[in-house]
Amino acid sequence: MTLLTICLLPWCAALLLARLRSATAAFALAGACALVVLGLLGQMAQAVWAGQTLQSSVAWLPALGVSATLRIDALAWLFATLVSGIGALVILYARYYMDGDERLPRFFALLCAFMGAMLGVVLAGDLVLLAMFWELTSLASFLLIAFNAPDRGAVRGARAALAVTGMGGLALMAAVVMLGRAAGSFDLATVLAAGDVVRADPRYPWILTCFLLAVFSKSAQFPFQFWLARAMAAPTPVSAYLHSATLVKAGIFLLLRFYPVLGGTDAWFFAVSTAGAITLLLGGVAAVFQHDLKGLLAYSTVSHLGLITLLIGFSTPTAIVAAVFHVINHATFKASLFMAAGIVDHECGTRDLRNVNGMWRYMPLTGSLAIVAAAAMAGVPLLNGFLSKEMFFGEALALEGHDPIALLAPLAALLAGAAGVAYSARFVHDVFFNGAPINLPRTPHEPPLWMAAPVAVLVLLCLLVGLIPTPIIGAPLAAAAHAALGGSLPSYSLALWHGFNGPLAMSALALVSGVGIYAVLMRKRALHQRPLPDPWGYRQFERLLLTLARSGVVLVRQLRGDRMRLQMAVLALAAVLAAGWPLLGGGFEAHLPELTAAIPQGGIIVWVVGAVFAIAATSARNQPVTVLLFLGAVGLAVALAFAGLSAPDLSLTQLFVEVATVLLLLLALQRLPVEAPPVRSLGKRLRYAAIAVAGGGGTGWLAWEAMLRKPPAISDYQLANAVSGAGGTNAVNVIIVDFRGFDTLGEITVLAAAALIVWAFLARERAGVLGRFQGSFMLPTAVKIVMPFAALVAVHLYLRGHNLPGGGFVAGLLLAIGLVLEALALGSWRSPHARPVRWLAAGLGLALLTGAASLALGYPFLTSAFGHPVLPVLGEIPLASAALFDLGVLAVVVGATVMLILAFAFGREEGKK
Amino acid sequence: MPMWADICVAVLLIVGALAALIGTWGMLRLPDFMTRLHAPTKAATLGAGCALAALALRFYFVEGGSSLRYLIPLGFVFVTAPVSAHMLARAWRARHPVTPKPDPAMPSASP
Amino acid sequence: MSRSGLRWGWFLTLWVAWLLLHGQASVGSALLGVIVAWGVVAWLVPGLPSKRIRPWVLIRLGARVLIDIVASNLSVAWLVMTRPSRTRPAWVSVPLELPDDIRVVMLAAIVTLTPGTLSVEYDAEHASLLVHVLDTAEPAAVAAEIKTRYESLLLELYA
Repeated sequence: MTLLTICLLPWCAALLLARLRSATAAFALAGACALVVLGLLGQMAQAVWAGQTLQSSVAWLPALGVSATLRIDALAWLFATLVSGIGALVILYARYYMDGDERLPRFFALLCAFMGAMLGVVLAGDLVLLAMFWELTSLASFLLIAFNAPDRGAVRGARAALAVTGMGGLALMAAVVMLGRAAGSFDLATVLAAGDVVRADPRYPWILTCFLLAVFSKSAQFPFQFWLARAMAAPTPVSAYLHSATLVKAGIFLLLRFYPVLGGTDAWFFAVSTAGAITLLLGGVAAVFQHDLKGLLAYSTVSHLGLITLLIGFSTPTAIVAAVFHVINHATFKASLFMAAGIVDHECGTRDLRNVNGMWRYMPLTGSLAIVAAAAMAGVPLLNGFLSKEMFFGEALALEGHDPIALLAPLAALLAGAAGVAYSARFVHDVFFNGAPINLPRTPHEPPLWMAAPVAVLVLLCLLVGLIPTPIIGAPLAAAAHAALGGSLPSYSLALWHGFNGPLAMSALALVSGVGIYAVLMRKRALHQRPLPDPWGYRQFERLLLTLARSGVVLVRQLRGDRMRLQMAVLALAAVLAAGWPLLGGGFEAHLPELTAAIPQGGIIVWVVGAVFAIAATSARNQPVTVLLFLGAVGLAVALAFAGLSAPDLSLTQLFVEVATVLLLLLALQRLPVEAPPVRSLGKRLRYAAIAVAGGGGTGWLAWEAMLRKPPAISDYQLANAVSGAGGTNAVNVIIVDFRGFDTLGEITVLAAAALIVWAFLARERAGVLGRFQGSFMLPTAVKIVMPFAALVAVHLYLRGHNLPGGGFVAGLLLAIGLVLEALALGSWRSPHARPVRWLAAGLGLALLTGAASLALGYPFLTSAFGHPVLPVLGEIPLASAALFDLGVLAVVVGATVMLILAFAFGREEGKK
Repeated sequence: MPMWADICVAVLLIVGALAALIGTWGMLRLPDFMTRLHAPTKAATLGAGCALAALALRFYFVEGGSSLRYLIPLGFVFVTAPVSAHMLARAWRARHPVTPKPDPAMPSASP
Repeated sequence: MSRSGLRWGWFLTLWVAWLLLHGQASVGSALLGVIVAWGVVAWLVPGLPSKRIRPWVLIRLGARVLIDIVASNLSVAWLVMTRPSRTRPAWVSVPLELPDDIRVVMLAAIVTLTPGTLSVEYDAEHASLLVHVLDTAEPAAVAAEIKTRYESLLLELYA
């Protein structure tokens, strides 16, 4: 239960925050949310450190073996604590960083949503759930990075982040599915225990590839490192949060989590450690040459992530311990550094290292905090960074076997260490010393105390861990490393002093050479005048996007708006192929006599009339309105034919659909090319004719086959059980709202989405031409008189739907047509009753709630309850919860129809309000 | 169902059908748009009215007084037929900007 | 009739319509009808200005219109069957004295439903209804007939 609270609380807070206006209230709520989560985690600490695994589980898709399991062990606890703890500090920091910004509640809402997604990833006890939350982190981070949209950099950065991490999400989904198959379960505990089976599985290389794609893209490993630097367009609190403790650590978390399952093989070693090593060096070198303060930190983050990845790639138990340790250390010092950079940016109005100099005089407090944090990043003794870097050097030296890498690893480690010292030195020297500031937009001074407070807390942690590691971090680190290893813990020492040994020498060498490199670059090579190094990867990414967009344009040009014939032909042909393929496989027997016996005598006439109109429509090619009228007539003939074949439901529906369609098409005609050029060549004509015949004939054939088959048991079952199983005599409606209620829920969701998409697309279109509707003296009055009756009939149709022809769909169409007429008569989208978005929301909400209500009562989703209570006076009343669901269907149909038609009629310009 | 009712229903149906037929014929034969507009407007009213009356009468003997509900659509026809004729005429006038002048000989009766 | 009176009028009309639609006169459906009719009125109450109506005038008007509809059909039918290509169409503008929109619309509807006339446009500024006549030798007489036969009754309609 606690786990569920931890997981859901941030989401609830996000929903509430999105509605808030007051910045103070938003801050209080967001902060409280983070603190409560932190507190709940604290409660679990003792149990989790002792090696317990807490779990809570709800069946989700039992048929697929997927359940909504939440699970916490020491590793998950550690990451969850980082996420919520640093989250709380970032919230405090953002309160002052974005002081006076009216978007603050929205910002906190997104931040909480992101926190919820991260906690979900960390706590998920089921692979599918994990993948889902993983996607949510991508989406939430996209929104956070794009927070300053429409700023160009923010949009581009967010796009790059979403494209890369979204691709990774797909890869993870693939990996999860294969992993679940290989391990025989999606349950995380089972999978973690099935390492041997998975590694022996023939699918292992594929699983590993997809998995690493996901992990590397998220954790900005080579070759995906470019998105992280681009994401610096985000507000600084976002960077502090996403790039220290959370988003990028999600990939690391996954590496650690699945190390017992996928790790330990040669493939793992080579792939992970190579990517890690390249990233480590690339990031370290690139960081030195950045002129943007946040860019420097971004590349240093890339470098440190590479370091952690490299450690995990080493695959030795002590390396894993070091990796976990460095995750903690990096989170603390990098978050504080980002925050300090934000303060500098905030106070100076710029964060260009070439201008921001000599800050020590203006902000000694921030300066001293930042210097300590930077020293931790560089690996200066007495600070936490030193300890984990020592361990890293030790691992690099201790590596055995794997010859070329074993030789190169210490060298790479030393180089990276030196680069780390160099960019840390640049950070400190360039910002706080190095002369006086140049052309600052503002006069800097110390920030508000509360803005520096989170930095101070983090720096204090760096110091404490660095000085007395064991009491501060020993227990959780040991427990987390134990959980990550999935086996016994190796012996290691967190002590500050191990005597004179290899790692110490490397540390000293790195420190000296790093400072030296920086000094040389600064003095002799004029670091400030160097152009920015080409951010490798981003240009390639842009080029790829451009190529994709271009090929899309080429494709669209082939099928563009004035080539409707081709569009239709492609659609029809695809349908014919898709339907015809299986049909050709099945045997086809003619049962002509049976069918002719079933046709009512009058029916033939209606059919002939319909066919004549259809043919007439093809001959009126260049008069769209005429074609439309003919098609309307065909539709009416079909409605009559349905009525003749005792399908009153279909007939009624067809009638209303026809009206709505003709209305919609008439309005759409304004936006279509008026004349289609005639098809001259005989070959083309024949081709189109063949496609038309295949389409029409194929549909006919399909219907024929369907009608001649002995009705499968399912329809018999539904007819027989409509009354006993769902309490309705109208089997069609019962199927829609009860037997296949879940299908219907999906369908109305798609309908709503489609309507919204059309609406969004037409937003940029010119408003429709509706002058002729406006100003009529009779129409508005007539509509006012007719509308109440239309509503009455709609209610009537809806209410009797469960037992007699009717139902929510038909009633919704009727109401929608009335509302559209009203809006047209008023000549404005702003008709008082046609609020399409509200209708959609209300309908979907009602349908979902009805379904959820049965969950709350302990039945599966959407179970319909029904009864025939006999009330005094009113008599027997048939009641079914499906009727409420049907009401939802009604509202969605109203909303979608009104939205579609009005979007075509008015465009959205008019309808914005 | 008594004989007189049978006859009534039959007559109503025939009259309604005839009205619809003549309305259609008028659509074909009248010379221009505005005159053509007259025929279906009126034929629809009478044709639909007769058919619905026949329906109501026929089902009076099946379900009693509630068969009056078949007359409800008639109300809709009475409201909508003039409006649609009016809208069509408007549309036509929009296409023909040289609108016929109102008869100047008409004495103004307004005070 | 006040606004609430208007609501009551609509409510009763809708309630009766509901009973007719439902086709059964049970207490249950009557009560349900009350709920539905009330709901529709609350949602869609039309803002039509309205006053007390003289029922007798309304009945006379209704009867007159019904008779004229039949007559109009006969005359138009005759015209269509005998000499459809030799009609004598005319545009007539009928000056009206009706003070409110609702009665103008009523008159326009009646004009369209009755003999050989079709209301096309209402010019609010000059208070004149533009009418198209299918076949007439004397347009002025048509206008006069509209005024005497319907407008006079409509003017008496409100008490």
